[in-house]
Amino acid sequence: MVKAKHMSIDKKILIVEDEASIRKALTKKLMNEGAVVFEAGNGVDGLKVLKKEKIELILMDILMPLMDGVQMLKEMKKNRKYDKIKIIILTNLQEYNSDREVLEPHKDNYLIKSNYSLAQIVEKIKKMK
Amino acid sequence: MIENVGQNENKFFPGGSLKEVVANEFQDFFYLAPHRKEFFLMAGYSVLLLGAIMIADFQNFFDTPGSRIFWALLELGFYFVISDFLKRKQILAPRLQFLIDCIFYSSLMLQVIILTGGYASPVAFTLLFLTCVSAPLYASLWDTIIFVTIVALIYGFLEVIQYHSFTTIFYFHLLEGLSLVVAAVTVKISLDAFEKKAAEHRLANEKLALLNQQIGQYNEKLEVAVNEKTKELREALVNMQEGEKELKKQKTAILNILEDMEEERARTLLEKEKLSRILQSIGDAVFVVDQDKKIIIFNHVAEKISGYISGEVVGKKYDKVIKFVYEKDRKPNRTVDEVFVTKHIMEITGHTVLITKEGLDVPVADSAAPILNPNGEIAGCIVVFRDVTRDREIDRQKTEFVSVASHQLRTPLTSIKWFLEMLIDGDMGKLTGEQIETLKQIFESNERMIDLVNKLLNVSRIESGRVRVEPKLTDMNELIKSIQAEMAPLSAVKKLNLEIKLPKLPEIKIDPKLIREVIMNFLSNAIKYTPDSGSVTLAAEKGETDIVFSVKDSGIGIPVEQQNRVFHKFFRADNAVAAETEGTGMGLYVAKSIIELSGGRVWFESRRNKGSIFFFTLPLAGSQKVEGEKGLI
Repeated sequence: MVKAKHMSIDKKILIVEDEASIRKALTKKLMNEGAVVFEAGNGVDGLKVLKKEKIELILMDILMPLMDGVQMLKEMKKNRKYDKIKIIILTNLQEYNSDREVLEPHKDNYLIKSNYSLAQIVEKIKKMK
Repeated sequence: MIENVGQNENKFFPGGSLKEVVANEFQDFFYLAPHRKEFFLMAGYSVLLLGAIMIADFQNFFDTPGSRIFWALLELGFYFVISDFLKRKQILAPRLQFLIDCIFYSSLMLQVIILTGGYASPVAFTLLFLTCVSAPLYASLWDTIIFVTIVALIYGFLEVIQYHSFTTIFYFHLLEGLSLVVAAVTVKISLDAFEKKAAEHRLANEKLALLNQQIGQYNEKLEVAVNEKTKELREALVNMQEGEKELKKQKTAILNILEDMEEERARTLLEKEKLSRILQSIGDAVFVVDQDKKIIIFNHVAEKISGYISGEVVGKKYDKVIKFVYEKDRKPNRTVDEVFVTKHIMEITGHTVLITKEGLDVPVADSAAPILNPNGEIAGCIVVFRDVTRDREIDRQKTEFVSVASHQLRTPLTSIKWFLEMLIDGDMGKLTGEQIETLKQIFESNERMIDLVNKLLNVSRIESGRVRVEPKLTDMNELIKSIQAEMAPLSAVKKLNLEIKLPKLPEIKIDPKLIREVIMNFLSNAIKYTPDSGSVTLAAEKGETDIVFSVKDSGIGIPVEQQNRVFHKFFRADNAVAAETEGTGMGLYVAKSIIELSGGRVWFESRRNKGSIFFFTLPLAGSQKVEGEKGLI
């Protein structure tokens, strides 16, 4: 496991994930890396956060109650303010496929959680700047 | 009867010797010739007349000398006998005889009459009587009339000569003569009638006698015939009885045969029923075709699935009614025809549907088996199939379940993974070395679980045919290089010599992610099952139509008896399990599936403890894009 402590993540990150333990782990790690982390348990809450805070990156799960990731993305598209926000899709569902067009622009940042270590995710975030 | 014609034979005097002739003549004269009674009567009368005339002459009654009368009478008498003789022997023709008789009698009689006084002769009447009576006795009625007429004429002639006219007495004499004639005729007629009657009677009697004789003969014949017939009948009866016995025997034999046949038939019927019941109770659809591929048996499940009733299909060529097609391209499934050629049981492979009578698709599966006759030639084919809609549904649900479960499993596994990571990294505080080691162990186990889940998902995707193949032009050398880099630490741990022997390979259109998975799988297997200080070599060779890759190891090898299951899901050889308890048994199944989806082939060579070489090919032409739903992890 690679420790990338040399660079801190100086960003406002929103984690949209319904599974508490996953959310907790991500939050802790990112905070350790120097990011400002906001949490949301579903798409609705996620959108609320977006309204209030100036989020620069979203780590988004797909399968969530109330409003899932796809829905949230569609909602976000309606607001041009959100176009600049970077998005990493973190899911445990199947690999990216072209079924959901809204995910298309994010296909390079489509990660299957269980196949990535936190360090790898942090690495990816850092490379995204 | 042959007449004995002797040398002395004479038609007038029949008989051979003189004695016989005399005897014959005697018989003839006295009683054989006709008119004997009349002849003797006349002869007797003539003698009487002669006697009377002689007596009269003796008394000088007559003027002329008696001797001349006597001789005249004798002449007459003589001629009578001669004439009788002539008539008896039929020497002259009857008419001629008659004419001569007329002349002689008339002349002689005239002579006597003249000699005895002529006209006044007392014997004139008697002579006349004699003449008139005898003539009809000998001659026919008409001849008599003619004769009498001639006599009358002569008499009249004499009368005229004597007296120059007809006297009254003359007419009375004529009348007398006529009376005599009438009397004679009357007698003749009666006699004739009587004779006729007698003759008739005789004839009738003769006829009767003849008939009786004939009847007698017939009776005899009849009796003979009847006897014969009776004999025949008796014989026939005996024959018949024997024949009947024979028939009875044959009948019994036939009845026995019929009984046997009936038994056989009943047995066959029973067998047929049993077969029919078995067929009906089989839950699967069964139909049987003969060597001409015409349907001969079609059970009720086949009816249910296909929508045809057996009456509609029996006797027809199977492919006219049972349409097996491949689901995707609708090309006909020719498994049955293949069975006829290969004479082996063949599976009706997956993704085959049956087009029902209504034109609907029913997914089916199972097999077709050849029916061989004792010579080993194909006599037909038995096809068994099921509606696998439910099976497919179950399969889909199973896959779905695996998929869902796998996804569900990932979440807690991720959670564990990341928390362990943080703990190990010291993000939760400093830990002792031992604690860190422990956590690392846990982390490894968790990673294994994640790996297992990933593999399960891959397998379920491959099984449901939902794998996506996205070929793009790939530099194989580059790909393998990166794989080598990734595998390096693994091989280093075991102090294995990992060699890569590659010529410059052309770029080919393959799905890099999938092929990466495959190569990594082969390499990791090679490394895993090769003991320390062994060697693993990845090589490649460009062929005509494809590139042949090989991964060789000096490891534990695969025992021969287990080699046929190597590519099966979840299979791990015994020695593999013994060497390394880790392992899902899915790697090769997935690898083979991917290679085949990519248009290549996989095979291997191995011996226990002698290492293995795994080969796989990738077509130079590249893989086909497969839409699929999901890529592999």
